[in-house]
Amino acid sequence: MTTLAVGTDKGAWLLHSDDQRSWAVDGPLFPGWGVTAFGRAADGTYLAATGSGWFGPGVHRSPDLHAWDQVAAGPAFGDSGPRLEQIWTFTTSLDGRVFCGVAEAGVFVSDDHGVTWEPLRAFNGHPTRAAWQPGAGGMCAHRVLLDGDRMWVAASAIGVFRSDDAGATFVPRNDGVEGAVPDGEPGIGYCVHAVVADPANADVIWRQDHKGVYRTDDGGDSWERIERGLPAGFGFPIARDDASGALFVVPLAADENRVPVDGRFAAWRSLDGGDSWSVAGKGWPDEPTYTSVLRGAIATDGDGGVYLGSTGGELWATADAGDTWQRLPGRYPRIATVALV
Amino acid sequence: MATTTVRLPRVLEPAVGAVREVTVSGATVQEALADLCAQHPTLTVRLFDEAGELRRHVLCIHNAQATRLTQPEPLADGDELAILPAVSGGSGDGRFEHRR
Repeated sequence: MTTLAVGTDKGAWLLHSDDQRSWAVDGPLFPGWGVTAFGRAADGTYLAATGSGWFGPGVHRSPDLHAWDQVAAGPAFGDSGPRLEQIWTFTTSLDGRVFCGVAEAGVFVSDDHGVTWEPLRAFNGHPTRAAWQPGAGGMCAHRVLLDGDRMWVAASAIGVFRSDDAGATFVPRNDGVEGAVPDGEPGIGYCVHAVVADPANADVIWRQDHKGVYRTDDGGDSWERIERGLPAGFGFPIARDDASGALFVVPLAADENRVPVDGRFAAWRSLDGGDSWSVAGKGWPDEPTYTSVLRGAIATDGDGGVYLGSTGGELWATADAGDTWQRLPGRYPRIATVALV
Repeated sequence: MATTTVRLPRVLEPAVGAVREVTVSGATVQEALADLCAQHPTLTVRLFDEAGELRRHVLCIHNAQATRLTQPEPLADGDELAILPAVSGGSGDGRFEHRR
């Protein structure tokens, strides 16, 4: 059975399907709370991040997706550091460590499946931190990519940082990307919105940036722009179906106008590693649709399944790597995160 | 040392479960809330930020008066304490302090 976890500004829902055509809706979880990320620890424990305008962010654990316990010792900078504003992502390594990316930009690590968390000091206390500046979307570490002792952290509006020594040190890796801050500090000031790597070759990473879509073939040492066929370079999510190699982005008109070009809501797909793009298949709405997809609101199952959640609260899915799309049942609050759990 | 009851709003259910009232002790409101957080550690991060300040959109009501806990407030037996979400903060703007 496929279970899709959908986190929104006001609660989360689970959608279950045995055939990826008919879906049963279950929920809400955390009614009234923002749900900003889902994850899975190595022992099978489910993780969820909540946020509240009243009561702040927190981490919750569950053995079954229904009984949830908030952890008491969640990620925290401490009383003299930055403030924890929001939890953006959970990433679990092959050896069972859970990495949590947060705003204000930071990464925390759990070695006990999400019960307790320690700061990743080499990133959180990076020598360039004093020059980090938030963009319109704040300053958040929203993606962690792992490959053995190598690690990449993508942080808006700072850039991509790589560690070659299991997180002991980090170096900005943004050469070739257009900077978001004119005359900014060397190496930083790049507003990466999302990244996704090739699991068969971690040197290949695709990047949806504030300033366009990029690819690196050398682990981030250099980036090249890859936008041929796209109606706009701006957008937030980027995802890859590992079975087919298809890449997906959701272009938006511009920084100052974050809606689909001409109200044409669709994912765009590349079947050649990002060299060219076109609208992904069929099934998209015919009527003007001026909603967007946030960076966390896309998920892939690695076998042709791709799932999108929109700011208008609609869910879209394909089971054939983007050839055909269907809208899933329900309309939800603004969707912040979509995950297969 | 006074013993009193702190009423909690339903919206805190993800942090403390179905608990709506907690009996606490303390000579001041601050001590009473410290006891509350000792009994329910998950409330520490929900009521207070990392600097230990009461979160901006959280109301602490002491005998029908809102307090920001800026100075010690003596607590007497029979006093009433309540935690409430402010009328502000529910839109999400306080959570997503910087929007995507």
